[in-house]
Amino acid sequence: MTSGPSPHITELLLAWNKGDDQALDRLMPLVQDELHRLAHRYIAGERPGHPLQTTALVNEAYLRLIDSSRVRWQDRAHFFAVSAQLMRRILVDVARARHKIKRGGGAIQVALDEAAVIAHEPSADLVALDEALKTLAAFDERKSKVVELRFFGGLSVEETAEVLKVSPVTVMRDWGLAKAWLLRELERK
Amino acid sequence: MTPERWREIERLYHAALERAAAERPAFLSEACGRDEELRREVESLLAYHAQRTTS
Repeated sequence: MTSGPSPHITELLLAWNKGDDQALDRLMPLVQDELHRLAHRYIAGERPGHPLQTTALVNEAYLRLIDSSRVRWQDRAHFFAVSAQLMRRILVDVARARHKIKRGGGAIQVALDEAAVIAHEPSADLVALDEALKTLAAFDERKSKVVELRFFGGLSVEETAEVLKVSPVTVMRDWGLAKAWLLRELERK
Repeated sequence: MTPERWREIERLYHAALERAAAERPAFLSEACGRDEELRREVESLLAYHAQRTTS
């Protein structure tokens, strides 16, 4: 349990972004613990008709763990990138466990419009979204990554470009096509 | 879907988007030739793109 931004965790983030890979190995479990705690707190207080805002949880973890006055926007983007990946895994694990218990009745609905993934669909089944992203990754890894970063991490176009080392124009093109593909894939299910 | 096939779909999708909506059917006819499946795939993705951006 943490109270307020941690100098230690902020140091790890800065060290990792300067090229220290061991710092990332120490950072990941700490971020994972916090995201896990936030996700379970959300699940416990879940209300029907209020789809989960995935990026709100990641943002809360950031505010709790990182002293934002000490990091550059690039450091922040990389924190969110790691968090997006962890968040996706945590939530999908929770959703799958619940599918088993409730035989599909307790699907976790995620808000798809917060990052404007799919404007027409207010929410989608998290497990279906995860499956669709895996299918997409099999023939286009980068687009799946773009969606993961933007949807589960709430990264902006610029931040996504920084993390993936491509141009913002490429991110926008990937994002547009990935959204069209995902919307179609989710409707087919 | 193979990565090669997908790259072709992606290329045509973006090329079609650069053209006015009225010009797209002729463009895709020409570009896809006898490959009807390719054309259907690109058109269906364009339809989802349109659905999102016109609301």
